Parts: sequence; structure tokens; C-alpha cells
Amino acid sequence: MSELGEAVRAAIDEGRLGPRLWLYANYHCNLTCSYCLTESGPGVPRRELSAEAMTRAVAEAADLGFRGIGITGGEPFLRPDLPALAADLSGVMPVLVLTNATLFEGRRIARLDPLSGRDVTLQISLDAASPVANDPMRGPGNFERVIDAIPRLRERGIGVRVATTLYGQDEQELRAVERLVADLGIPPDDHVVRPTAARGRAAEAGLGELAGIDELPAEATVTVDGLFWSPFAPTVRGGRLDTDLLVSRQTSPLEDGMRSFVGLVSEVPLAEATRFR
Amino acid sequence: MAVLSGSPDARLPLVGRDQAALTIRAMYSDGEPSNVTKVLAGSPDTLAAMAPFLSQVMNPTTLDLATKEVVVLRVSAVNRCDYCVPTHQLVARRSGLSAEAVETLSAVELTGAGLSPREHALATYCDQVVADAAAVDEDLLADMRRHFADHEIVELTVLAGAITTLNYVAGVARIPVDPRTLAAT
Repeated sequence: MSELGEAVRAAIDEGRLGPRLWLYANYHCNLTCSYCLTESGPGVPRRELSAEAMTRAVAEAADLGFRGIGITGGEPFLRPDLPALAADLSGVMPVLVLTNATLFEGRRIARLDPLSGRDVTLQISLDAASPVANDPMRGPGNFERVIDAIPRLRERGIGVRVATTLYGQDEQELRAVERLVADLGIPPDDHVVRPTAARGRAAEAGLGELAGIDELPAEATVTVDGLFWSPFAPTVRGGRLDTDLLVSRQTSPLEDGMRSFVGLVSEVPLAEATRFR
Repeated sequence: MAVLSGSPDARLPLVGRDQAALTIRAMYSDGEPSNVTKVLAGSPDTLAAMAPFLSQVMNPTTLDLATKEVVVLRVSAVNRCDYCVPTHQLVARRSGLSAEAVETLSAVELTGAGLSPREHALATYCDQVVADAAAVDEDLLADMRRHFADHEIVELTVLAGAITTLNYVAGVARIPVDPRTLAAT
């Protein structure tokens, strides 16, 4: 094992570094959520990480001791190649894909056939238990599409987690979404609840909690622009990429950037329990 | 994806404190870094690697700061660096070089006015290295050896190259002179 690999494994074991390597598949999205960290939407530059770059990064990440892959965006499933790519990558390590689950209506869900029987889990955003409470932030029709998609994904043997982003829902609303998630057959451990990060569109709107190096746990994140501290880091504000949580422009080979990352991880005090997951 | 803070005049982004990458953030902790540092911050991996190197070659070693500033100022003048020359005119004066020496070293055509034989030999050497290092002849090298040990010639030559690199960056970016330099002149 390489010296760097030993350092990465030790950092993961000590809880200084998240076990998952994150990949930003793209920055465009069919939705335009009010709190989006990356100002994603239909018209934004796609800034896709190529399938080759993702495949190479995952192979290198496995050698370095990472234990899983996260794919996020943008909406990853806007990429036609994503289902087959995620299926391929899951042959190396378990894959978690963050998705809004609005692109799986009717027969379109057949696109996900490559995921059947693979170690790929979809993490779906759902913020409230009704369209009235959920859709103002995420867009009209979002709630119904998500509620429709979750059981159909599960029927196909595709693992589902739910992520709820906090932006001021009251206790009653949170209990309601917890019940709804449970009713959909999702165990509590697979329901992630985290604050809005005050970055990107959320920061422009004055929403969210401070999310800097002291708040965000270290989770190596590869984008077309470089290696970042966390999947909450490569944000876009006013059309401009934030570089305050950039670790290195070098992502290929991954070890070039990871050398800097491991150096930082060893300097930063071990984080307190964080609300950002 | 430009990040502008300070003067908007540069042709490459000046990276402000709020956008400095994690590996170079410490360079912003002790007051505002120079504008050339802010441009280099656009490539944080490059800056992180350059910083200790520049610190080694630009700071006093067995060679004092005044000697190093002869190189910095002369190379910058030959490379016509509008950012580096005024910046290092100040540093050169503070390092102990006379006002006349600083004026001589800043001029396009080198004369001997105000320079010691050692400073003049070094300035002449810088002119030749920047123009065509392979054309440094035996006489010029012998003149350098009258004043400097071989290891010092290596160090001064590397310094000339390092400063040329910064001159390139400042030249392409057309970096505005730092406010603190303007305030001091």
C-alpha cells in the first residue's frame, strides 16, 4: 500500500475524512430550487465530469482506501449515460446518487434498469409532507413526482434514501415528513435531515447556516474544476464558482490532489458532531 | 469565473481573502497579501509550491537583502515590469541601496552610477542572463567570481529566473501596484 493510501485509510478510520469520494457529475438541473448551493437550473453551464474521469477517479479512490462513491450535481440523471455509469462504478464500490427523482415518471423509469441488482442507492430530496409545504422551495409538482417515484424505485429493487433540507419547517412539519418517509418504507437511518448551507442561491437569499471548513466534515469531492473539501463546497454564487473550499486543481491523478487534502485533514482539528450530512 | 477584490484593473483575477483556497489561506492571515500573490492564488497548487521557494531565494541567506534586491530590481527593469519595479524600488531602498543605485538599476540602459564594483558586476550579469544566459562569457563569469562564490552565483541566477517568472505573471496580468506601495511613494 502506498504511503498516501495509508494516510487516507488512517484518516477515514479516525473519522477525519469521510469514507466516500464525491463526484459532481454535472451542474445543470431540471429544477431551480430556492436554496440550491450550485445555482443549478436548466440553463446553467453543464460542467460535466466525463465518464472517463469518473471511472478513473473511482479506480484510484479504491486504491487509496475510499469505501464508497457519491454522485451529485446538478441533477445527475439528466445525463443519458448516468444509469450505466453508476452501475459500472458500483462494481468497484457502493454508489450513492443524489437525485430529485423527478425524471422517472411512467415508462421513463425503465432507464434505471441497469441499476437493478447493483449496489446503487438513490438519495432523493423531500422536504415536507405536502405539496403546499414542499413545492415552494423545490418547484410545482415536485412533491407528487417524488411520492410517485419512491415506491416504484423500491419495487425495482433500487435502494432509496430520503434527504430533507431544513429551511425553517416547524416541528410539526418535520414529524409529518418523518411519518411520510416511514410510510414509504424507508427506515429512519436512511432519512437524512440536514440544514441548508448558506452558500450559493441560499446565501443570496439570506438562507441557511454558516458552512465553512469548521462546519463541514472533510469529504473529498471531485468536480470538473478541482478537488474540494466537501460536497457542500464547490458552490456557485452570482454565476461564479466559490474557491474558498478548493483544495487543489489537480484531480488526475487523484493522488496529486489527495496529497494536499490529507495534509489539510491532519491540520484541521477533529470536527465536533456536525449537522451537515 | 473571475474573483475581483481590490483593484479591478488586472487582466487576471485577483483572488481575495473570501475566495482563497484552503491550501493557501494562511497567506491571507497576516494582512493583505501583495497583488502578485493574489493573482498566483488563482492557481493555488502553483502558489503553494512557489511560496517556500520564493521565500528561500528572495530572503537573506549568506547573501544579504541588498545584494538580492540588486537582482530583483535589475531583472524587473530589464523585463519592463511596471508592477515589480516600483514595488522593489521601495524594498531596495529599505535594504540599504542608495537612491542613486536604485535609480540606476531601474533604468533600461545600465550605467555604473551609484553602484559599487560588486553591484555593477551583478547588474551586468543580470542583464546578460535575462537577454541570453548561454551568452554569458568567460570574462563576465570571471568578474562575478571576483565578488561571489560559485554557490552564490547559482543562487543569484536562480533568483533572476524566479523574478523573471513573477515579471511574466505581472506583465500578462497587468497587475496594479499595491496600495501600500502607492502610499509609501
